[in-house]
Amino acid sequence: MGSERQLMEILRGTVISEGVVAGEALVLSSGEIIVADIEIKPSERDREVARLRKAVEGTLKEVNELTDSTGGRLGDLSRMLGTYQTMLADETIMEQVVDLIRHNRLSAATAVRQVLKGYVDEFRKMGGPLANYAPELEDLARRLVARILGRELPSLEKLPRKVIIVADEITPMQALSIDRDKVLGFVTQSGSPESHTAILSRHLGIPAITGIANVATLISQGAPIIVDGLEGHVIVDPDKATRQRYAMLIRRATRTRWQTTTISADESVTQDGVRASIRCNVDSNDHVKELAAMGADGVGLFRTEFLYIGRAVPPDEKAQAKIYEETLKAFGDRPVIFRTMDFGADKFDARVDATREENPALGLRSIRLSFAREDLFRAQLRALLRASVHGSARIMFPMVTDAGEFLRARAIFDVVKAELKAERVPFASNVQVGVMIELPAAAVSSTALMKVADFGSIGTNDLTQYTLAVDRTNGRVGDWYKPHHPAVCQLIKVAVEAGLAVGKEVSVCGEMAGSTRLVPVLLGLGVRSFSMAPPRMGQVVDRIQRVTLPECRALADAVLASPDAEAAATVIDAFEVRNSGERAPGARRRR
Amino acid sequence: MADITLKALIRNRQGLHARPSALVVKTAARHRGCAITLTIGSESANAKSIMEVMMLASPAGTEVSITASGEGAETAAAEVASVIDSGFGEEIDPAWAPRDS
Repeated sequence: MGSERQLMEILRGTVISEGVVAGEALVLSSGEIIVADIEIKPSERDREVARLRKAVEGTLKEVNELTDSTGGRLGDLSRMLGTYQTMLADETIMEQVVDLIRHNRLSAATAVRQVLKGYVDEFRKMGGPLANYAPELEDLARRLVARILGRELPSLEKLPRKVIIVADEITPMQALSIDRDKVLGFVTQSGSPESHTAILSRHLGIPAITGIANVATLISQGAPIIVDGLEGHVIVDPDKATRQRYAMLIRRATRTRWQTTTISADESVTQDGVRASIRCNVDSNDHVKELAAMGADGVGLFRTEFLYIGRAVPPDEKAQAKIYEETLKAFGDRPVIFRTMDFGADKFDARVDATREENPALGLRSIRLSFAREDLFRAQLRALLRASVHGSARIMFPMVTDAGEFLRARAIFDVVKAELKAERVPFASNVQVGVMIELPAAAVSSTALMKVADFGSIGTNDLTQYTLAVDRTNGRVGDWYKPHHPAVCQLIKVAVEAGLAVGKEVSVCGEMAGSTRLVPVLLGLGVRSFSMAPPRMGQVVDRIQRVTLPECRALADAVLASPDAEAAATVIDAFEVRNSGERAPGARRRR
Repeated sequence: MADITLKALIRNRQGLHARPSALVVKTAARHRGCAITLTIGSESANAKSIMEVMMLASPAGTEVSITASGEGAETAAAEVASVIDSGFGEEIDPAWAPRDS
């Protein structure tokens, strides 16, 4: 048995908390308790209602004890227990359950499950943040049923040794009661970046990967696995070479855990002395002071969607200006590149889906929506200009296909400037206006685009999706999403060279810029400015310090010459193996 | 006894989600002799039911009507309205912050 050789397997998912770890899998089965569907006798009704009440009280007591013992640690997660408490005390739920017992002759266990399942289905159907609570409700149903039937649920409170938890989803109660010193990482089937698993794992600073369908059946109990929470891979039964390669990565990942690290962007220099600028991507003005203190060269992508999505009405011009101002002030003279509204018409108000589009990715969105809703676009540009006196603001337009569209957007910008001037509102006169290169059309037309735009920024996520016609969030085709595809790299090269030809910066702000595996390729393609999620900065600087430009160029040429994505991946992997070895500290060149 | 109806605005950045719903329910549940209903557009919810309130899920900037009937209806409606209007103790969306004067 023990000598049976397992084949190494790689499962691909989405990273919700970064890091790399190796260990033994502890698979939690979501196994529903089987409840016999027997009609109860009228004489048994009172007994069933009593069992129900006892189970509710017991569970409530358990939740209360857990709340006390965590004492408000884990912030939001602890507060979520409050939701459990309220659900357990809910009038409607209990009335419905008792009703089913009394009138439909259901047992307490069956009735609880039926009522809560109804809500779970409804929450899932409504989607959005409510769907995040479905696992809680399911957990609650499971706990109540177990109590009614007098069964024990598996406990995570006392784990025998260090493990990587593999499960459909981690519920808040599991998360809070978990033996934290023994958990190395999480691998789950479902869970968004806002899910409980994500919050917990980021809090604990351990890697977590989600979005792997049926993961609890794919990984066997006790199997050795590696969680690569940088690339989003889970490697099951790794072979010796893979284990050795990762042993090194794991050491380095532990060294650069971001919560405590700041980077020195000045040290982002290749072995042969080429400086690459390191900027960060931000989604909102939360924690912007902490971000500014991390030492990046600026913000390469400020996503403004949070101002619009999920709100009935976006904040007005002055409120928006205040938000931009906060970020600009935090970053001082370092540039902050604001991307104007980048979403589809359907995102205005989740409650009203008035204009259903067959194909929203190809529909009225981003700059197209800005032209259609010029009122909103103008308000945003006015707000950005108002804020521009507080720092070094730059603006860029998303989803542009050619120079004509860019000029149309820029003309609106110029009109807005003239208005503000007439109104005697102060603004910085030298705000640079650039273009996102994220559609294949923009990359191909980049020579014309870079003549008129002040700078360019390649959004590799969309560029990859639109070039390869693949929705990376669609699990059925996610494997087709390959940013290293020679066709994608070719488009990047075209855009970068178009910028170089006119002496304008073309940076990269997609996830590719934060992939230590792909940064050498980008350097070789001529990219000198990278913008990424803040936790990645340390690792990217580290990688840049380990390479030389000639070897990156050779790598990029080999990728471009590859006949297909598979061949390109092989070339990149080979480079990775050669290059990820630790070099003696003295060999690192400092400027 | 006449019904009391008050209006309140959802002001917190996250909108009406689970935790705020729990706060509303907790406040409403203190008024035992009083039925309290929340209405947003055409949807209504029993303010004492977490499930019903959660399913009203609404973003910042949404107006909520609070109708209370029964014993102490006035106080009940006012308390629930103030929980909503205060942004549930969460971060206020600058666009919906209460204006001075």
